[in-house]
Amino acid sequence: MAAVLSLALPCGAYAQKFTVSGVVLNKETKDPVDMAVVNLPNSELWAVANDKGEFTIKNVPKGATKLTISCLGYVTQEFDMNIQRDVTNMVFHLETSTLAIDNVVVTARENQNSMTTSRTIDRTTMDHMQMINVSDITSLLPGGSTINPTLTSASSAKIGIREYGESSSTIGFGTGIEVDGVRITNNANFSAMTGVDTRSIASANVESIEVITGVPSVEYGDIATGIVKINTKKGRTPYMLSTTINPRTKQFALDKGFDLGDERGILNFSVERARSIQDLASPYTAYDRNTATLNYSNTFNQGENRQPLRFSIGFTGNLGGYDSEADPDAYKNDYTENRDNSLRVNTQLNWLLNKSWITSLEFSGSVNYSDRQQRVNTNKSSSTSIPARHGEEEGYFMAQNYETDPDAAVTLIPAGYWEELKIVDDKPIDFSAQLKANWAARWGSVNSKLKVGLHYTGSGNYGRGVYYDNPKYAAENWRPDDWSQDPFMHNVAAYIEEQLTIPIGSTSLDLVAGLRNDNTMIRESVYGTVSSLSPRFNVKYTVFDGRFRKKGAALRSLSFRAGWGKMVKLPSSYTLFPSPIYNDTQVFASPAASDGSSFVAYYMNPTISVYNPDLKWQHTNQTEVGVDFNLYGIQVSLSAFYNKTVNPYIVRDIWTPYTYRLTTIQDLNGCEIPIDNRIYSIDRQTGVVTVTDKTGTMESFTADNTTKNIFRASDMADNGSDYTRAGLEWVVDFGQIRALRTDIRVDGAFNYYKHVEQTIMQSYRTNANGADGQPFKYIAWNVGSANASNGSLSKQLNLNLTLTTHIPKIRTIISLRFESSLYRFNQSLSEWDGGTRTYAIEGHDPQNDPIIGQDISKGGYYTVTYPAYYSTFENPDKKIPFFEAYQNAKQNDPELYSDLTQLIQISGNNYLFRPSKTSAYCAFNISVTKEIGKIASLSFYANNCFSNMGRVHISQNDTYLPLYKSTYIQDFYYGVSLRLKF
Amino acid sequence: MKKIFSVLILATLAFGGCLNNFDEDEKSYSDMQISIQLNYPAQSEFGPQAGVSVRMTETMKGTVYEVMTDEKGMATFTLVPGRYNAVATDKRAENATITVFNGSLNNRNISMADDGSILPIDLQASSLSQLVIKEFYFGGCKDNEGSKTYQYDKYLILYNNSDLDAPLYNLSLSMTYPYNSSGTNYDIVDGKLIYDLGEDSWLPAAAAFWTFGPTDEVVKPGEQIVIALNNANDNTVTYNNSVDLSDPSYYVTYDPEDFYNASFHPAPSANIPTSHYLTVPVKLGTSNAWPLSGISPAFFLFAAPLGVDLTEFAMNPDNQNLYNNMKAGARFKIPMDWILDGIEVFKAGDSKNNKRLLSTVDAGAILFTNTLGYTCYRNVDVEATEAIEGNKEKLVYGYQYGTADLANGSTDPSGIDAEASIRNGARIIYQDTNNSTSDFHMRRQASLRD
Repeated sequence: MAAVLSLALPCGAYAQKFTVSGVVLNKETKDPVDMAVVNLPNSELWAVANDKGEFTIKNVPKGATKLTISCLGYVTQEFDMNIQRDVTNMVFHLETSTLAIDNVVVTARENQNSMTTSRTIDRTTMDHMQMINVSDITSLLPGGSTINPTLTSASSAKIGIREYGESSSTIGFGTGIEVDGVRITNNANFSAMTGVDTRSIASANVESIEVITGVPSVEYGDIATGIVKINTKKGRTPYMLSTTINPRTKQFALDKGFDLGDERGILNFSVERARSIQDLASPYTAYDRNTATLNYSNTFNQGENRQPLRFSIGFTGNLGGYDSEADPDAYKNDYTENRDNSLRVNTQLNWLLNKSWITSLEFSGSVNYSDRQQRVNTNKSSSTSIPARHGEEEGYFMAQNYETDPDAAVTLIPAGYWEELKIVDDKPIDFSAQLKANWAARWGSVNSKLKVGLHYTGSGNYGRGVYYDNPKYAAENWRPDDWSQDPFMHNVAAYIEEQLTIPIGSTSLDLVAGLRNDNTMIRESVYGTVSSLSPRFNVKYTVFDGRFRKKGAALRSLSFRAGWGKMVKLPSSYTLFPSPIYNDTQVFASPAASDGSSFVAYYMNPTISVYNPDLKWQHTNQTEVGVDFNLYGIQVSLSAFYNKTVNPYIVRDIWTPYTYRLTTIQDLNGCEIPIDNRIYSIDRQTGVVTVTDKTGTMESFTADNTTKNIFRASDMADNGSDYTRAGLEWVVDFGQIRALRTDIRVDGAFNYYKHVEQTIMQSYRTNANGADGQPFKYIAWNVGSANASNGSLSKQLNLNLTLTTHIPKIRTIISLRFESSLYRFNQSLSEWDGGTRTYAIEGHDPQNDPIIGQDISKGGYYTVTYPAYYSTFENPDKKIPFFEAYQNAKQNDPELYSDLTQLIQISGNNYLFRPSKTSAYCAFNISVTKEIGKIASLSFYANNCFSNMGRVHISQNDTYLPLYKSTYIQDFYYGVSLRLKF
Repeated sequence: MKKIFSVLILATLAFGGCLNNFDEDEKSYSDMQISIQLNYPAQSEFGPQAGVSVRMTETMKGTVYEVMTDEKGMATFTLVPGRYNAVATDKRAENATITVFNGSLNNRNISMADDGSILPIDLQASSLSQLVIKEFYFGGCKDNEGSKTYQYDKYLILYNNSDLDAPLYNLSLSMTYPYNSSGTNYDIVDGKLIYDLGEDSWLPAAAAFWTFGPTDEVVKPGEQIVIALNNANDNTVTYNNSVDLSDPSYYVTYDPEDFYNASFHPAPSANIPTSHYLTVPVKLGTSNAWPLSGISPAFFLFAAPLGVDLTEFAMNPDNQNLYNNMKAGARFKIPMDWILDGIEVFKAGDSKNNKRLLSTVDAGAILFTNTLGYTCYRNVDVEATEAIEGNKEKLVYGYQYGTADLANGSTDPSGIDAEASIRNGARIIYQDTNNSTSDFHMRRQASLRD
């Protein structure tokens, strides 16, 4: 409101503007540091130093402001200034970033100036932990655990921020990954709803990573829980050659930033090769990453009274993937090849207009194209013909020899040996363009920053989907599903955000309010255009600001922050375009001829996804509160969050009844046509099988058939029950003990996750027979899944202690990290708001043992889980309450009783719902980095260096599990890295 | 002085420690005496006699000890500590009726504390049937390239071992659950199978059983029938190591209404008439193929008495049972007196095999190695076969298809090549003591390939 009002007022009277200029020099050599960026974040003004190190910023508003100077390869400096008049001839000295300087951090650094919880990890930290994959940094977040770096695991290459409790197949879906301002999404992935695979991002070229876990600014859309911003090297650097080796991975990288001189800009180039093998004993199955990056950046239009324009354009190409072809231990000619090639082009423009009505204009655009083709070759054989179903239409179809009719709905793969080469052609492409305008203004002592932006993203897939190299040998139930025919998904978003900084006495209050409107358009989709609004608010109240506090005060700084936001997550193509379901039922098989071929007929019933007009977009309501303070030199940062994911996407089955005709070999007994002269055919509508004589001599024979009732499946995208996540994260930095040069840091996290799926979903016992010997004729309507439990509750408390010893004189830093899990709690739940879902029974016979009213969560009893309703073949939509009908059938209808018993799920043991507490366990990691002279730097680390051989106790069934080679702590592992700078 | 003193003390301590070690070492390698006492059923007219063979096998190392009983029915062994299986079989003939007594101890841990103790084995009488399992081929063979396994050529040969016609009325084939012998068996509670209930014992038939139904067909004395259990086609066209099952006299288990998996149950060869199809009355569970194990099945035959409708029997929930409460382990309860013959197969090289068939059906087990084309073939009963008039001249000796040279292999102790003898016109009587440890051997190739 304040911003809108003040636009009408004349600005000149209130805002006095001054000029700030100076020069930036290297502290040791006193050479000018050109391309250094001087930033005044309060007024969104910046300047880039020219090749003499000089910079000038005009129209700086009067009053207190922060000033930062940063440059690649140097330690960023921050100053507080109070501008009351023109400031010229300032001299700033920047130190080169080495281990010889005093202030080196090898843990995640909390961003004190951020409105929400945000942490930065710099290059020194990444070198110290020998990061192979950007997903390795999750161990540096509070309570994070180290995972041994490898490229062969797709699931550990996904980053999931505050996604505790998420399964490994969907983790990372809600976390955004940005490289140089370019979002990398996984929306065009048709096969799974999972997070971004970060293996194609070259890790040696990364300069810093910022992880924002609080309520982020509205300029970030299409995320659920957090965002990871990766910045690659841009600036002049010497040649950096680095190699990292650990037992299963080797990585080599070379990068350099060339100064093209004469203000022609900087060209950063980097090449990296990393190769990870899966099994030390068989080093043939490996994942390769070969990346080359080229980035050009320059600042144009510099000088007095001009509006500088920062421009950068980058190209990144990656050739890599996973290949098991050379493995001599595999069966002959059986291999899997996964390509992971990608090309990314991104550009950024930042134009400092520095006018009274607009401060700066930013534009960023990108195109990201990947080729993730997978090839799987298998040797197959059979002594009888295999009917391969490829038809996409409804009706009865008889198998044909492939030579007779290659397009037949059912073809026969003849007996013998063949090679099946299956190709999954996955070529996702993402576009993005963003235009953002910043306007910073000052009214009296109040600082205001207004941000308005427009963001477009599009994603699609040029891949053909799954297909086979030789269609004659395509797999038995393959149908073509061309992803490139599905329309692209376009999203246009507009956002506006206002940030006010209001000083109140010696304290200050920051307020951020933003609103984002997302619109999604999918051409030809029944879902049409959908719109959503995401409001986000953040407030930060700084009571004591550490920079201005008087010395000797106990509480050196104190600030409180709180945020609330709604984040909408768009569904991926997997939800919007699930593959059609093909229901095939075998209705006839002819006796086998001497070559093993048998003509099989099917009744095919393809179903497409049912359109759900009530499908809502998934969103997460996130609430966060935090406090940061410094007490007697101990820096403490606490944040508590509560996230509720509302309307998560699920896909559920819908079963509809249908009838088909079955013809058996016995029904052919009256046919007198000799076997070798028979031609079998089936009527597409009626399903009647006719045998005709090839020679035309004998009459045709029509076989009898019987009618069978069964159900067919189709699916529908829907919204499930809410997920609740809450947690508390803390970081306590005890500061450095001068005498020991050791810094002690304690960080930890408590996480809570609860999810119970209460959506009523149908299930059917496929292939089962009822008590009458006919196909099963009942549908179960279960609360959530048909499993014994429909949800879980988990809690975890992790505590890490890091001791960092930094000795600048010998340029060494040693860190010892103690990671522990103090409390792990897991419990399966079975809950239903509409009644009881699971009952405890006396013994373990669900039919004969009585139900007793015991609390299932105590354990000690076998349990039975009943569906909520059931429905019959004749009346599939009428939901009959299960419990009463089951008790009734026990007395009155034994056949129904026996059938309904098939729908009950009995627990396999008597402790399924008992809570499982895992006892505490820990691991030690040690890392050492030493710089040798100015040219080389050597690092070594050992994870789980004491190779913890202890056991943990699982309270659920009172067992002990060894920690050795378990999923609880990482295996003993080590690595060495050498970096040369010349 | 002090030095010598301290050296002396240290030396004493060292020696003392070593002495202790010596003692323990000796104890763990020393032998002990264990006696097995055979207890005959109370109501039987037969009692203990001398010369009954009792065999103890150490499960981890595979060592076999065999001792004959004394006149009180006690056999004394000298063993080292370990885990043992013990099997005893006593075959008695009286007035042309043969009664076989079988008993076993399974996975019994014997340690030094058991030295001198007497372990009882309760023998149970079991009857011998006319139709016996002559050959059970289920292990599969290698494909032509020698790398992958082809396992869809399983078959069973039933043989009439008696002098009278054997009826096929309501004859049924089934297997137990768990499908394999290794791993935990939840049916064993306190060392005993839950269906071992004396007179009320039953055997579990998993998922479904195949039956001939109420047919009038018979198998003549000395004749056999071949039943293909997966496909009934000429597999040798594609797999040179496999068998040809497309002969018109063969039978096949084929019921596409219940089991229609195209690999496990393809349509049988047109040569085989539909009257040779065995069917499934009722299927339990959700599989689309009959899951006979290719590693270590426990297979048995039973015949329901005249007038029993097998479909009605199968649909009755009182005749159904769930293995460990698992819906996937739904099975039928077949009464003991319906059971004709069975064969228990253990996986060779595995130290933890559990018995699934009761001792009255099969007291022992045959060790088998799969995927190499081997088969389980019954041993010839030398005495009964040579006793038949005019047989001795036609018998062919010099049996070469045994696998005794292989690890965990076995051969026919009679040395008679049964297939060659039959081709030569001889009549073979196979050995049947309801104990597959002594009744079967692992034959190098399927007899249909001879």
